[in-house]
Amino acid sequence: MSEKRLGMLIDLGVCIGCNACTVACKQENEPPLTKFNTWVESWDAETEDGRVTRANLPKLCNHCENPACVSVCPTGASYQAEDGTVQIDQDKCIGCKYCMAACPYGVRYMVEESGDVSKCTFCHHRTTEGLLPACVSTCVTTSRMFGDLNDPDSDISKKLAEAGDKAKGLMEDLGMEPRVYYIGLDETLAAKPVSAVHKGGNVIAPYEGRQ
Amino acid sequence: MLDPTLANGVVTPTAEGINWVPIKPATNGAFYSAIAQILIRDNTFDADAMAFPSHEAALAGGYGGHTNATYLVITDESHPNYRKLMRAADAGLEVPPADPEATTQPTYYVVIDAATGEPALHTTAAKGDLFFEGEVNGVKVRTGFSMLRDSVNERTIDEYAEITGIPASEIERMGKEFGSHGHKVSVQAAAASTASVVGFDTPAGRELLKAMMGTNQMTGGSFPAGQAPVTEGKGACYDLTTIAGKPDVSNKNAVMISRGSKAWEKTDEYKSRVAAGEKDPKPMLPWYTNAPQSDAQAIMSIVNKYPYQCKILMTWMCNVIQATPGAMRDEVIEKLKDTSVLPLHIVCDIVVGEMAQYADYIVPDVTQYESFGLPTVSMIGGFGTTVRWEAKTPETTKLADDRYVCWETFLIDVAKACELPGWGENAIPDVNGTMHPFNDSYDYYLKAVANLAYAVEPVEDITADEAHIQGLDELPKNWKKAVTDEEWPKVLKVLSRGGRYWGMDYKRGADGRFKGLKAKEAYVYNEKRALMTNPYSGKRLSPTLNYNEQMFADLSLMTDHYSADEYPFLCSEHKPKFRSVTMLANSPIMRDIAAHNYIEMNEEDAAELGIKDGDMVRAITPRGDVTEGEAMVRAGQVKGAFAVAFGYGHINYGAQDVEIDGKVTKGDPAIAAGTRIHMMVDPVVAEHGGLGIIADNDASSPGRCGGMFKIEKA
Amino acid sequence: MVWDGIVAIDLFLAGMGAWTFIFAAFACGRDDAARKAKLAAVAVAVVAVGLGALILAVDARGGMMHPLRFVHLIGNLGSVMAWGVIFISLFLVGAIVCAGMMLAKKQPPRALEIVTAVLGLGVSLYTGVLLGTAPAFPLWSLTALPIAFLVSAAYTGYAAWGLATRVAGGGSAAPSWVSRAALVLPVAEAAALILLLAVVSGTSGSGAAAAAASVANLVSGSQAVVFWGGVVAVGLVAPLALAVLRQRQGDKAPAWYGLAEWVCILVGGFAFRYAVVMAAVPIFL
Repeated sequence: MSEKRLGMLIDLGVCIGCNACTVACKQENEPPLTKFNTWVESWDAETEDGRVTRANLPKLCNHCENPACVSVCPTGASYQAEDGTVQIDQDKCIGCKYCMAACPYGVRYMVEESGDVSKCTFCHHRTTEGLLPACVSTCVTTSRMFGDLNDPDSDISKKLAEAGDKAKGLMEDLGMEPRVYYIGLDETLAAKPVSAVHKGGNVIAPYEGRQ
Repeated sequence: MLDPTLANGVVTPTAEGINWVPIKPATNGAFYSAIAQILIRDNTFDADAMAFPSHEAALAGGYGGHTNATYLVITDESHPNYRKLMRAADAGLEVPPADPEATTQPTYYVVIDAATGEPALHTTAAKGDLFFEGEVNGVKVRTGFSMLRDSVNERTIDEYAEITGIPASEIERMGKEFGSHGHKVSVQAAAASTASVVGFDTPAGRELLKAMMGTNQMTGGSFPAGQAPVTEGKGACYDLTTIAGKPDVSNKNAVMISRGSKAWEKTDEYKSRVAAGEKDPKPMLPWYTNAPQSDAQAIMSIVNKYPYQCKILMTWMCNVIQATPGAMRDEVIEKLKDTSVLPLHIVCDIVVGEMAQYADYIVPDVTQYESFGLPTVSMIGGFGTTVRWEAKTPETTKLADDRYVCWETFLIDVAKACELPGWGENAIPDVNGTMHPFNDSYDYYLKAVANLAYAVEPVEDITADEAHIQGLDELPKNWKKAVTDEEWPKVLKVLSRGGRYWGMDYKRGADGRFKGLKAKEAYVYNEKRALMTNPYSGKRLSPTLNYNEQMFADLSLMTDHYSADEYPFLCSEHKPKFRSVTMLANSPIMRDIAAHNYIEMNEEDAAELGIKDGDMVRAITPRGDVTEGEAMVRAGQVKGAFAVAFGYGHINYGAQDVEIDGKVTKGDPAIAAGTRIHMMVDPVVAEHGGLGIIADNDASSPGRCGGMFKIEKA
Repeated sequence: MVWDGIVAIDLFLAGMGAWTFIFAAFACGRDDAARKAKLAAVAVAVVAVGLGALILAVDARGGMMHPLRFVHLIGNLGSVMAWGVIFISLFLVGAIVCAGMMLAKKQPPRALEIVTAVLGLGVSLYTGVLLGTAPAFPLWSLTALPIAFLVSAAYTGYAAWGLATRVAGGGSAAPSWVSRAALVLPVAEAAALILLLAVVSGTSGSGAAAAAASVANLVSGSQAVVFWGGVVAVGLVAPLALAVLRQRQGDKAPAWYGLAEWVCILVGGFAFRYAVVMAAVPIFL
């Protein structure tokens, strides 16, 4: 195949929830305070065999193959670039927030200062210069892998092929065809949450106790 | 992974073969004792490894470490050397003639030679008898190992389970597994949650278990970490440690202000008070016979003006009162502000933290991105050193001579003003004895980098292309002048790589041992501890591993002073992910990622107290200290203890309004967000008129974890 | 929360205004006597839909700060919002022309009224489909919400039409189907509500938890008062009862019955939009 299709693979088996990706992204892309292009959700998770573990789930725009955000955008500000990534042309964005209501992954946010919507670009400004996205570049355990999904010889394609069924996208049943894959997603989500869910160190879902 | 608190990291739903085992803070001695008991009971420990009485014997036996398990201990209470390890003279054994060339002569200990059953010098026996109890030369003795067997059997596994909170079945499982991999096992334990008033049990137990399986200096076992070529010493190019004309000053008779490494009865104060007729005098603050230096104890000495007044305090990049649980309280701060207590206080730091706030002078320093350092990564069993270098121009003031204000600049200029040797012109010798100047930080650190570049075998020169790509051809001229023209391209090569590391095989011998084997003795019997008496009660602690309950400064149990029913909770502190120990609360990004920390509680404890996730709660000590914060109710916290990530709960550091010359600068309350543990002070020390933190009675380090608390909804 | 009460106002005004026009077109007489009342109703339709569009535009921060960006508004015809813009714009053109002609004491051509009415139907459908195509919010079911919003829009349109024509001085008597609508619409709306709750409760897969939480918000949680009090009691039960009473008592019915019925419907219609927007829990945390 000649066309590029960029994607990411996150091996949850080696993600230690350090949030170095979060910090690197903040420094690289400078999203406004309280907004994040990528972040890590962490919570205590009890596995079926009774082990209490700490789950870490990095999140970012999934750069879907079938992105709801792009199809709902009235102005065409949200679009799929040639490399398959989902991008926003801020000069066309009227800030109607339809894309934010459409994205089931909650990765988009309004920039109050400019009135438009922003999100992870897969570090478009870096990847077009041959660099890795900042979060991938900084990942201390190489949990994050990035590359061309259409190139069978790319590291990410090889690892995906090796992972087989173990690599899944978030909420694939919604039909967006996310292009951020996770190894170990099923085990992580199958474990019973036994604490609040933290985004970085802030609570985004308090713990209601064992139901 | 034994930890009171489940941290982020390796124990994830996807990680196989690694479990989190919750353990109550301040009970590590019980856990280690239980494992040692199982190893001895099941005879799964490495009896050979334990029986080597000397380094040479261990080497000959194919091992990398030896122990004093077979050394005989004098147990005759009437003997003048009671509690001591038996020496050759005690046993009537002859020793080899002294080496007239040596500055120190070896001490000869006595073992029962396993081959002959006869007493022998530890240097002559290939192996000692581990279990001997009897008489040697008419003196009642027994091996340290036999005493260990008794001390770890003081309690049953069920009792250890009750103490630690770990189910007995899990302790048994871990004990069996630890004893089933030969020397390819190890124990890592350090810092935060292991630091308590009985914190010494942690390194003691850790080293014992490593030795019991013969793991020391073995590949796959307890392989030495943090090995590095000499950079800041006598290196391949420069000698950065020898100072020509250094005054002949000895600190041999000096007394550490932190009261360590000195027995109370050996102090001048004790002697003069006894000479003045006082019977059995007690110190205002405790003395620690075997403790190293301690910043926490030093600060308590300073505010108590005991054992002597600190007239000048100079600190660099530290915030002792914030980092010492129980020290950040009004009584301490008032003393730090009082010039009659502390006349001069100079701080060098990049921020004005809780300590710096009360300094007389603040010298601005630079961040890690604006300075140099050659840290050895201590957790990696390889060989090499990282180089941290000035990657950006410092933000501090630029001086007329192009140097930036920082700690090094300050030291250099003060030293030069004082005309100290080793600074300024003709300060640093190279390997040929030629002297070089030391006028800025480049003069020192780039020479250390040169040492690294030429270590073992010199690196290649950097190519012009690579230097250009990395911008290394644009470095300021005061860098290059620090080394020779020949060294410069090699120094750049090392800078370009951020350091230098050799392959793991560089230190791994083909025989399965560390290539740089050095004598590594594990104490089964701790003679220093055996001889240490408590300055208040005269009591002693066990010379072999056992479980100690939490104690105050006179070794009386905490629970003898305060009700465990009323104050049933322990605490532990752990490293924060989004702060450092005392810094980073000034970073908007860090505050954005984590606004504050939590009081982390076990879900069952919380349910019993009617506390819900997100409630504000108070943890209160028997002395009324209050730690207040938001509850994080979770399964990942041991029952019976709460946990707090440190680095939060600032009172200064930009959180507070500052008024200078009538002009008020508003603080940012977000910097103060979160909580820190307010530990009680030691009531026994208080009885003797001192203000003292609860502390480890061996190491003098703060009782960071443990304590006694009750928890209630705020 | 992505969208809030502001959007609820817009959705309400657009649906109500569109159907006010439809009622005006089909329930008002085409004689001169009815023109004043009809003009009032069409004016209400224009103002409501126009105001709704204006609120939507003001709420679109990026567009307000950079007005030129609005030229891209129909840049993606795959977007329901772009359809909405087209429907609303054409509807407003049609309705304003009708109003202008009536102001000039002329009857608008029937064809124009019908086309504009169809555009109005599109506007009211758009409000439900807009939310229905936002998959982050399972409460906004594409299966059930457009129907519920459509019926509700018709009901509020009926009320606004009634109020407008009453205030403007009545005119010719309403056709008999209007009386039936007053009884049928609330019943249909109740059925649509039940369908919505049933469909959303039946959500499976990744949206299940958010769907259940949203339904809980509606029936027993944060929006329960608005839902049971505003949507059901004030918006459906009360006007239905008043309509029944009014029709049973015939000419003897007090005049305030009708006024109260219509006001209740409008309050209920807004409460419905508000509750549906505010109760919706996103799939993401």
